[in-house]
Amino acid sequence: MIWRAVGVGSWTWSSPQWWRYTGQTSEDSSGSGWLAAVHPDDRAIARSSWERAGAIGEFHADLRIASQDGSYKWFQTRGEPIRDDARTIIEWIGTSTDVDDLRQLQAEQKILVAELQHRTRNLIAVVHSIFVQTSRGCASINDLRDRFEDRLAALSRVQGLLSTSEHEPITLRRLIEMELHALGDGQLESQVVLSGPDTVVRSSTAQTLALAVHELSTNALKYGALSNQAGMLTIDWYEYATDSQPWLCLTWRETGLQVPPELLSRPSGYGKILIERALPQQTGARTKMQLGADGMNCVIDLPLKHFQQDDLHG
Amino acid sequence: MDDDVRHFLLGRQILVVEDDAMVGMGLVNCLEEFGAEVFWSSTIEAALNNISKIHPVAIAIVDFNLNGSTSAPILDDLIYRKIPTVLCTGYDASFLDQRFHALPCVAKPFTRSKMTAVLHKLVSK
Repeated sequence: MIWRAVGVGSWTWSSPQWWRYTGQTSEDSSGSGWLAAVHPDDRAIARSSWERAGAIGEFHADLRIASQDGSYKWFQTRGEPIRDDARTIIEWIGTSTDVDDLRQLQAEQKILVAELQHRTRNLIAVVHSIFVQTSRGCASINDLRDRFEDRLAALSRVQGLLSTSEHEPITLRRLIEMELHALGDGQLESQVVLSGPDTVVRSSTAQTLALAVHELSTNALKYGALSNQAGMLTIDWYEYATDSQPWLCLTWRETGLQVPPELLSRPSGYGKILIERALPQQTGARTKMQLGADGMNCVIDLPLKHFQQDDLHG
Repeated sequence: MDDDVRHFLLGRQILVVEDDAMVGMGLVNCLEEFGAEVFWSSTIEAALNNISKIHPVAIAIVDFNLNGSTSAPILDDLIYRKIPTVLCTGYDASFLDQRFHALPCVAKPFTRSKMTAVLHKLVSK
């Protein structure tokens, strides 16, 4: 939309696009009539921009302008002076450009940046919490370093899954395979049996579940079924419904272990709290961990639809 | 300072509202080390339920963001019941509603000493 003006924002002409968009006639917009189409909250900005314009040789203001139907859109309005031979301003020619989509995108970007900041801080809080809890009951700095690095690596792996989860939903099988593969350097396949459907795990659950699987795996590798050739690890899962809500039942069973039971008093406090307390707390899961005669048994019943939050977000 | 908080928290009932399992675990452990009895909720519903059941709640520590919604309903209930409340948030404080500005606020990630300091201030009021 183009316009011409003299003095301090006194319009002398507006283009047909202005008439069509605002519903004003050429007469309506002349003088300071165009201000009537500007959002009341933006009129002061328009006036003060005009007061500056002569001195700085430019008019510039972002204003909301009303369309015929009464709705407002953001327009970037710019004006350039026309000068006579004595450099005196004799007229202004300007344009008002629709920047509404741009403003909308900027607003959305601001929200995204705030959300990113929130997530980053939260992730740092998670790392911090893992560190503090890992430091408990560690015999030495080396012990702490090894355990913390292990858990940090597991957290980083699940973050990797989460970063692509929009295109590639996280299945339980992928999550477990990733963890076992990373810990066993691909050497464990002959001792591990996985069976279950392609159950998709919600993003909000994936992190805690992956860390729980990490604790169980580490434990199996250090003290359990995967610590010697004779052991077997069977992980199976199925979906079922309770009160017409979908649930997942995951069973982790270690067998064939020939280790004196007094050496089996694991997993550590951290893994135990994570599985027995934190996982149920965050996901609504029911968990049972038991040291059987020949190894660890763990059953995790997990609601696939979480509390009210997924309903809220569709 | 730690001693005051430890003394105050010993045997007290503390409400923790935190939806992140890891962060919650760390905070709950820390408070339990001080001898507090911790009630941990991850949802608005569970937290409101706990507030109405537990008497007395000595202190509430509440994450502002719960699974994408805000914990405003919990905070309103706590303020109404005059329960000393600490707000935790990963957001800039400017996101908070005006009515929560008076609450002591701890930005995530918080250290143990920061949390202890805020609790100390709260209990010595």
